[in-house]
Amino acid sequence: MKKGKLLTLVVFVLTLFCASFVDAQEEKGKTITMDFQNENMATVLKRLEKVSGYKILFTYDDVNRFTTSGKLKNVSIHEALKTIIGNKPLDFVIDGKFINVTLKQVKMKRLSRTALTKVLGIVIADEKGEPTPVIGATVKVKSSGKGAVTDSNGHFELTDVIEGEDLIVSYIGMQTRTIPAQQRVTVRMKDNVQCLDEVVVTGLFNYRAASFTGSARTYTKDDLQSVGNQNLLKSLSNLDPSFVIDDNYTNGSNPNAFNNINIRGNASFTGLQSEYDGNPNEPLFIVDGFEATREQVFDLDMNRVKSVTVLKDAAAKALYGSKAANGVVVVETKEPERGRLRLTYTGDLNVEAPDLSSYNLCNSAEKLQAELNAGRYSATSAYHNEYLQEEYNDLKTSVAQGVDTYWLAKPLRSGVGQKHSMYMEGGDDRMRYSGTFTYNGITGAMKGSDRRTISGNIKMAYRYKSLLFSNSLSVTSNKADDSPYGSFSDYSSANPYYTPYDENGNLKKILGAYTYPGSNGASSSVTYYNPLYNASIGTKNFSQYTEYTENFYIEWRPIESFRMSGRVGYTYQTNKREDFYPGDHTRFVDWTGDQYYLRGSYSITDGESATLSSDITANYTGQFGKHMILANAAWSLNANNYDTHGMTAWGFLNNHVDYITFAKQYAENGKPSGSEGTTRSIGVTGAVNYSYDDRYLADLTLRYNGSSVFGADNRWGTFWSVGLGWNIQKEKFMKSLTFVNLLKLRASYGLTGSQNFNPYQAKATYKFYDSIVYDNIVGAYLMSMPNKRLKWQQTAELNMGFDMQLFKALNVRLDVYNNKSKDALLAMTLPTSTGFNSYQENLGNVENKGFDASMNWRFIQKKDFYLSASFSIGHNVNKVTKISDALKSFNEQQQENASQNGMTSPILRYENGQSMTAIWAVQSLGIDPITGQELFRKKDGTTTYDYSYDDYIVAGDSNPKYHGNFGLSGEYKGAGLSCSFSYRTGGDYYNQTLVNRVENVDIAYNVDRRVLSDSWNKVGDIAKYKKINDTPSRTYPTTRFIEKNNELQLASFSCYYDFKYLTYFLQKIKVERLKASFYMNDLFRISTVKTERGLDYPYARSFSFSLSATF
Amino acid sequence: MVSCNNWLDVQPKSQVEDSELFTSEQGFKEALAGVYSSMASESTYSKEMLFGTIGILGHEWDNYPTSYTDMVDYQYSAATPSALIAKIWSTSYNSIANINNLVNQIDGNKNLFHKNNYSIIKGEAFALRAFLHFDLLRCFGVSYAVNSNMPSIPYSTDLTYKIFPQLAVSKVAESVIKDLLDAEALLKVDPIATGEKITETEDNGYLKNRQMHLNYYAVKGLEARVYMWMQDYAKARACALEVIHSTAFSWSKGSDMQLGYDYAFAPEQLFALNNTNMSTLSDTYFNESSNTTSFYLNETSLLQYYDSHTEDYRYVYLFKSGTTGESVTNRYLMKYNKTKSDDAYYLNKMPMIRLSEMYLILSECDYRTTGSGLTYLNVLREARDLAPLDTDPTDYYTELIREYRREFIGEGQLFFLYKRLNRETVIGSDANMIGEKAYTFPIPLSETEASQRANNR
Repeated sequence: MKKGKLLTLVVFVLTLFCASFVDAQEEKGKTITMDFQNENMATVLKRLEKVSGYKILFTYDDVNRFTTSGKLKNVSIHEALKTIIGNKPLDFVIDGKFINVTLKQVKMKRLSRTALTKVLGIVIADEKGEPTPVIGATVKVKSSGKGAVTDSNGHFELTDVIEGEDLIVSYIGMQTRTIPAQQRVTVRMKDNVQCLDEVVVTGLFNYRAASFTGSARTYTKDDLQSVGNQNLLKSLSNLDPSFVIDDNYTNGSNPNAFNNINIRGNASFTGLQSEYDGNPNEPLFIVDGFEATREQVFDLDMNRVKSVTVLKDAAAKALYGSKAANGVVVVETKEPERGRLRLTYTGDLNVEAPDLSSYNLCNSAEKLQAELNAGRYSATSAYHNEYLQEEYNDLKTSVAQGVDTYWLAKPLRSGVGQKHSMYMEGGDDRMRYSGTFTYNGITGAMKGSDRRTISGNIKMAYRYKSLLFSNSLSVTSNKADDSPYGSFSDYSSANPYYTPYDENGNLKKILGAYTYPGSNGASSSVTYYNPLYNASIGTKNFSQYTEYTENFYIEWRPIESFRMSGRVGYTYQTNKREDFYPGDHTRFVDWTGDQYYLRGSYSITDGESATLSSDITANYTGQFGKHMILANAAWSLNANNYDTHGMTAWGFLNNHVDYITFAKQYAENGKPSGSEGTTRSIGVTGAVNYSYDDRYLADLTLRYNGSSVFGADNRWGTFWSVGLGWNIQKEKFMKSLTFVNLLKLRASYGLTGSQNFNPYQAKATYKFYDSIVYDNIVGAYLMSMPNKRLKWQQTAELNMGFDMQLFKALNVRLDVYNNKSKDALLAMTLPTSTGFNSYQENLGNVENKGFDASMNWRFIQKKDFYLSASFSIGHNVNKVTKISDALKSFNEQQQENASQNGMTSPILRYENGQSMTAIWAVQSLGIDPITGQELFRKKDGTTTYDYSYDDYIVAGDSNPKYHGNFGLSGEYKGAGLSCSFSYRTGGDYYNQTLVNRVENVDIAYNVDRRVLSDSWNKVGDIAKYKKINDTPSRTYPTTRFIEKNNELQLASFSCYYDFKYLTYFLQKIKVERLKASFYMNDLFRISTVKTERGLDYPYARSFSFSLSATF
Repeated sequence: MVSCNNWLDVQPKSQVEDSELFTSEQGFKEALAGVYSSMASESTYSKEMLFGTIGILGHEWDNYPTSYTDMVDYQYSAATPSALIAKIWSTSYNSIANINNLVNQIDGNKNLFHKNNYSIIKGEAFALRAFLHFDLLRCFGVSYAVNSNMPSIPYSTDLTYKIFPQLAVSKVAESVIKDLLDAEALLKVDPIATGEKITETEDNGYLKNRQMHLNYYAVKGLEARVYMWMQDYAKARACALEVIHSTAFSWSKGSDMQLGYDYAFAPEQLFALNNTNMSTLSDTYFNESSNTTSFYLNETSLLQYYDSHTEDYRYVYLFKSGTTGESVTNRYLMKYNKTKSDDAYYLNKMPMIRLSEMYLILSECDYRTTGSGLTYLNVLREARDLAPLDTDPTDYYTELIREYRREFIGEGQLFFLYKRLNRETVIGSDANMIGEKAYTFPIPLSETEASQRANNR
């Protein structure tokens, strides 16, 4: 943490230094000295432009008829203009770096409403320092619908317009402006980005960014797309250092697997059974004001997104009360814009190429040698020895004949996927509409693994006087196929000296077998089944869902400062999962005798869920002198229920029938399964934002809400936050430092809650016996010990931060936080004489502290060239500060399980003062060169060969000390490039590959090459790994396998060309905007840990080409 | 606010909240049936509390599954015995927790009940609570013959996470009696006591099968059992007399046993558990085709059991021989076999308290007061087709034990008789029962880890 602070300080000082240098240059331009005698007005103004450094805008025809004379010496720009214009009927306005010179008489004539034969205008963007013409902007006369498009200089021309009529000027990515028609018009457009920066969207209320004191970070669609085009969540993790997607080495790049997400660390205990549904640390997702699931956000088309806001501290998220503790991600989709009907098409072609660089497996010759070394082909008795030798020779012959199957490649492919997105919008002031249609076909790197999403959305908005109605209807249909090839680990463990096909080219079911002749005729054997075989017999593994979302919104704004709105959202989803394994599947080979006819299994799960949300909000904005108040109030309601049921059937002997009705029977002792749940919540929220002179800021949020999840005695909870802020740049003493555009200090403190829990755990509920009756009555029994006092888990969050912008080019944000969660929900052990062995209680405290910082510097900003660099860093320290008896017994239970099952990976363990992600292992002193055995250090300091779980120490922490992203992006004449790296450092990793594949290897299956090179073989060998025997040995968690995990990854690289400068070409093909992009994701990775990644599903590099056109 | 709270009160579908369940009489019936059903689990009254753990400890069997090798030597701290004992403890207390929630809810809902059902259901609940606590006391409390002031078990009367204190043996017994007296008072209206005829149509025949419930006489019989434990022989005698003087029970007929209609002494059952899985149970535990999981005797020891009185109905009709190979000399108990009659009166009933025990209690009480226990012992002997004894046996208690052994094989009562009499040895074992503290189970770790419990042995 110290390092981080220091870094920021250095950056700050450096920037101040640079700043003063640049500022000095600007000062020079401030006084003007020039001479002009009877010179043409236009020429003088142009000269003035050069001398002053201002941009002077005028229409040539307006000023050309005037001449002017004068002499200026060290005067201000204002005086200079006054002298130059003199008594001519001209007006000027100085606006920042712009000066607009117009004819006086035009304004005076405004009310006369004469018809203008011709309107000449220019549309410019004035955000990025230098004014640039906006090419291809639409200018429309409101009443007649007559329109024009600006040319490559930003000019447009309209004929036969009534003076003073409204002209609507619009351009994608910019705020639409309405101005009165004049002979000469200059339209300044502002970026939408800027518009977003001015407002903080929380899903419930919007805040003015300038006066908001919370920590919230907003990303636009362009930001998200510049760091990847895969999905919104992935892009967000490449942008925000506090938004972390856990790396899951098991699932790799499986398009249908979701990894856990957390914002600013974990606050709830995981791994305790039955307490939570899903991940208790998952943030809350809000899409267009309503709660959404992670899957919904994952499948959301990025082209529909307008912005994503991550709410991080209490001041920003307290309005979500009991659901906010894990952080909130607010997604806003695009609203239709006024204008003619505009059609945008985006097409992507994606390639997923498997990345096997983390695998280092033996080839067939090496594998056979490793087996020989392990003594697999030698026995004490000469007879047996001969038998084994024969087996060895057979394999040796195959190897000599060149059999070397690269199994890893067998189930893989370069998956080619497509994505098509069509967006349509248009309308006028009264009525606006948009329609979206998206097809997204993700094709995974493993054969047969796909995820296809089809979605459509229609939005309508209608304004009538002070009322605004809007409606959005979406339908999404998704199908996710899992690969029929099964787990990738089946291929990484297959022996390379076997071939998958026989001489005739047919797929084998059995690859081969190994038999070890034992004493008394007892022999043991291993049969190797062909994993490819299962993929050829028609297995089915898929899930699918269809979802309908209907959102209705009504707003009433009787006066400018007051607004009331109401919303209703309803989402209905049906889902389904099917898994079918025909009788021929190798998993059934042991089903013989009576069981033979039960081979084959088919399970189906059907479910539906519905969510109803509604809220009513009122907003008031008031300005009294220098005091400004923004008051918000909301009442909201949310109800969600789900219901799933399923069954499993057995007996499918024929591979040709794959419908469940062909089953012979239900699964043995099987019965229909199912689950159901309903949660409801109600909340009242009040939020006040106060600012004095825009300098001193304060926020106060209060949320009172109730949830059905908690006990009757603690159903209602109060959550709140207080925030303070200081806009230093607005202070008088800062006025001279004009390069400081923003310097804001913020602090907030508040209380939020979390409730990702089993909905019925607080209640005394009964279940019914399903297989017995008592005296003709079906009995009921209590499920668990009720706890009517069960309440919310609460997190007290303290956040301090600052935002800074210098030269309109350098943005720096830093947040330091300390979150203390208390009353974490845990199972408390009960003496069994109470009737139950545990009950749910609020116990356990967890602390998360750290910081996140980001910096963005646009160091080149010219008319058609910009280059910017970004850097972000996150740091989080997690500590359990209080645990309950239940956790102690959880630890003991884990330890007991571990010793009983001979677990070879570190166990989950929670201890006071330790991180939840600590890695527990016994301290190793390495392999004794004499004995080849591992030497351990006991807790009391002595050494031993005996492994004991009691000697566990905290050997590392898988949570990285620092992680973040950095990148570079730029654009030159429409050609752009962006790359984003992610890094993590200071964490530890328990190298399970070394354990499973090098030391605990089962020599019967393929192994890592290091088995051959680094294992102990004879006395005196100084080796890293124990000797390998033909029977798998067990190495339990020791510090020997803990490695520093430092990682650098090129998360995304993209380049694009925007045809905006080729106006002639665009006009010719009748396209308003055209952009072609190329993306590469997860291109390379450097890590200090050498481990197999993607155990069940390999990692993939993705490449994609994207084309976007607006008509 | 109230309406908000109601709206937030979500009722689960796959489960029923207690406030919902207890809004009808049917709910109470279901909760009560749930308690009986929970007792019919293998960890208690479908196996361990009968022929399993308790039968093993009483050395009732020659052959038994290998998992009982530590149990038969009273090695309670070994892995399998301690798991089985912990399960007896937790399953029983779980049933008690269920009873307590029912009792908590019933008083406020008195108006829901049809006729006398309120009294009867509440009475049965009290009786069940007493029954379960008493058996826990017999397992985890020392015998009165040792020290009735030793700490034993907690007596739980509420559904709460709060811990009930561990009581002395005598205090638990008093609590058991208190619950039984309450039950008795409530069950005065029990049709079995009033003689009221219940038809199948009335209330779905709810009060028809009183033997499957802790009815009025079952409570009396249980009182007799408890008073014997408390060494209050006068009271025990009075209770047993009331039972045998009622007309509700009669001796099983040899002919019914012969026909295969009655293996479990149905007419003698004061209380029996209805176990719809009984045929699976006998197939698994008393069957030659599953010798590895079965409990059985061999030919010679069965003869010793019955003193070579091969006319004894129990010897003749309650055992079957194996048919093939080594099994032909095995004798398998048929008490829990599926009856050949489909009459519900005989079907799926596992005896918990029987009439014969009342006669044995009366015999013992007589012996203790008059020095002769012949009168009632002979009634039982004659009912089993044995000749009455003319003179008192030289060692009355040895004969009493042998009679318990013959009568209650597979029912788990023998071990508790040894314990009540505090016998130094049991038939079939040379272990010193008193020295090894073998009569009292240690309180399971699942209890002591989470609460302070004094040594109960």
